[in-house]
Amino acid sequence: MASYAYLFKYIIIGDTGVGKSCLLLQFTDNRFQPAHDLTIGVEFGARIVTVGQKRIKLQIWDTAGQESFRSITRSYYRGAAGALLVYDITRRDTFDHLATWLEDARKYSNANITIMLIGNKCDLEAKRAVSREEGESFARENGLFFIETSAKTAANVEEAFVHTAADIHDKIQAGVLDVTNESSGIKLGPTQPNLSSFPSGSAETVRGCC
Amino acid sequence: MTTLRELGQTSQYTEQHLLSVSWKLFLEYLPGLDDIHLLWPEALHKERSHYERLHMKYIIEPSQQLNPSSDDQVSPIEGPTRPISPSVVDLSIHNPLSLAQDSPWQQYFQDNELKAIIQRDVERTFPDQPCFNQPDAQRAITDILFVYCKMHQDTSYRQGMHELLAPLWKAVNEDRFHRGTGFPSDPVVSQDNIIFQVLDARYVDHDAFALFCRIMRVARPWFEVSDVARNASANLRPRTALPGAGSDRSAGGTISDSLRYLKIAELSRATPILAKCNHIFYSLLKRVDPSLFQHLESLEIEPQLYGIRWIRLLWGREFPFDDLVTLWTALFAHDPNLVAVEWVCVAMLIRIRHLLLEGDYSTCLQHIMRYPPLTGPGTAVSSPGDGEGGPLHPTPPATQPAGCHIGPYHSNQDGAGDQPVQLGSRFPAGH
Repeated sequence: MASYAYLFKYIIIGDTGVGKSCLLLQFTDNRFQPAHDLTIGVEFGARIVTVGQKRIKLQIWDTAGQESFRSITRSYYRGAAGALLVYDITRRDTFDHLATWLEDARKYSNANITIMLIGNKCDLEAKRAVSREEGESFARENGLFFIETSAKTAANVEEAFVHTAADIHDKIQAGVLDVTNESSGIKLGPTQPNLSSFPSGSAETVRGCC
Repeated sequence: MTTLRELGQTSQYTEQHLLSVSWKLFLEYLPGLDDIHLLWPEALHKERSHYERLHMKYIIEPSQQLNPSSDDQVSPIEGPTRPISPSVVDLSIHNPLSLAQDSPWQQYFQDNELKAIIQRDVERTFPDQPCFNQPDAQRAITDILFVYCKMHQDTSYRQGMHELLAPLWKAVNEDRFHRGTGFPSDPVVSQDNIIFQVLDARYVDHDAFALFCRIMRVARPWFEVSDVARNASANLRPRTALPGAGSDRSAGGTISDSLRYLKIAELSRATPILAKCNHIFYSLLKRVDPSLFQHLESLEIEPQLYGIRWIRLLWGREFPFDDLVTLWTALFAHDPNLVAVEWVCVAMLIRIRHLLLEGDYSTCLQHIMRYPPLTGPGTAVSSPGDGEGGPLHPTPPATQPAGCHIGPYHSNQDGAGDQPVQLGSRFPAGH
């Protein structure tokens, strides 16, 4: 089994058809499937990335856009360290619905969750219906990271997942996230990070646990 | 009919029989094999007229309802819903620019939004099956779903319904018969042409709708998510409702176990699909394969993670299309109320038990959610003949009774997976 320092749990949310599953597939398998099956319920993917010389396993949950999934699966929103909130830059309605998705994410997730706003399908510039500035502005107003991606060309897909991981990692370093609390969406991996890098309070907790 | 149902549960059946007629029989659209020259035309007429009326009511543009002779969609079946005569209509309301609440055009424009939502999903139906890329197929499937949603506005359209309908429509469409193409075209009911009435190409959509409705009688609750469930889940906030030992550390003791389980039970009651997933896992699998149950439970792999997709789509994503058709045929042949669904799910878990028992959380999820392909001659189902005992025999899997069984799965590792998982042909009634 590949070793890693931490496991971070992500969720991907957003309207149906914005490309959530395609982003996940591009990230985990480096391929694009133009006619992707509709997600029914939930899909699952995993990949290891490197952040600050640490190997971090991302365990990613991708849900159906139509489903209000929190109402049927406790473990979905239960402890996610990162959320990718996705809209389609060619469909205005998917941008207009962001506030509702964000409300859900805030309400049911960990207070310290890192949220990356993603404007997907940026390869379709000619069909653009939401400007980059609008996306940036929404992200700024709501304290989110922002990036435009193309699951088709793979542009910025890696960055979206890795930047989110880097922010979560920073929060661990800063002692904002407690790695022993599973609801934070973080687990220690089979190989332990250097505990001396933790603020003393967290380090104590880690030792006590493991 | 009993013999036919038994045959339907064998793997060779779908290669040798007209699929759509079998499904019509198994799902009790056609009323058995007795007196078919009297009873089949009656049943066909009743169901087809029903869809014709609904189609006229919900799909046809208001202007065409007024003036049906302007296009070729005139009902070939006499029904009580006749086109409205322009002479009795108030055209100040009955026009597309009218803002009156009771203008049929207002509803028509609202409906188009729902239809667009359905259409978008239908375009993604079984991407590997070329027939579903055809505009006619997509239009038909969208229309049928739309009519169904209009009839059941409390559930309305839920993603996944399209993948229950699509294989039904495909089966009916592939068996369709056009009158005047080398066969007797005389519409008079006779022994020679009854089967051509059953396969009449003009009624593909009507018949697919009838089959879909029969499936949805059982499946509709699987798509329901009630407000009660939403409220209950709001109380199961992450910091207070974490099952399992690992999570208890973080639960902070803010909610007791008993209260938590009470909430989960409440959630299950309010959401039928959850209740079904839980029943399969906490009741059936636990009895049939306790060690597999304990392993998955210890990993906290909730049954609804995979169960929702398995059950809502009747395994449409788990098996290749041909295997799916074989499995559905066996399922329908076994019982029109699909009581075997739960047991097929149990069998699927047991079939890959050796992979699961060796796996950690991620590995198990990978195997369950990307289900290993069926290999070997065979297939999704087979019938080993008469068996003994009940389906709840405690020792899996080889001593399970006869009937449907899923398998075989050939493991590359230790051969343990070669053992087919059998399910009883006399399942107890569903949960």
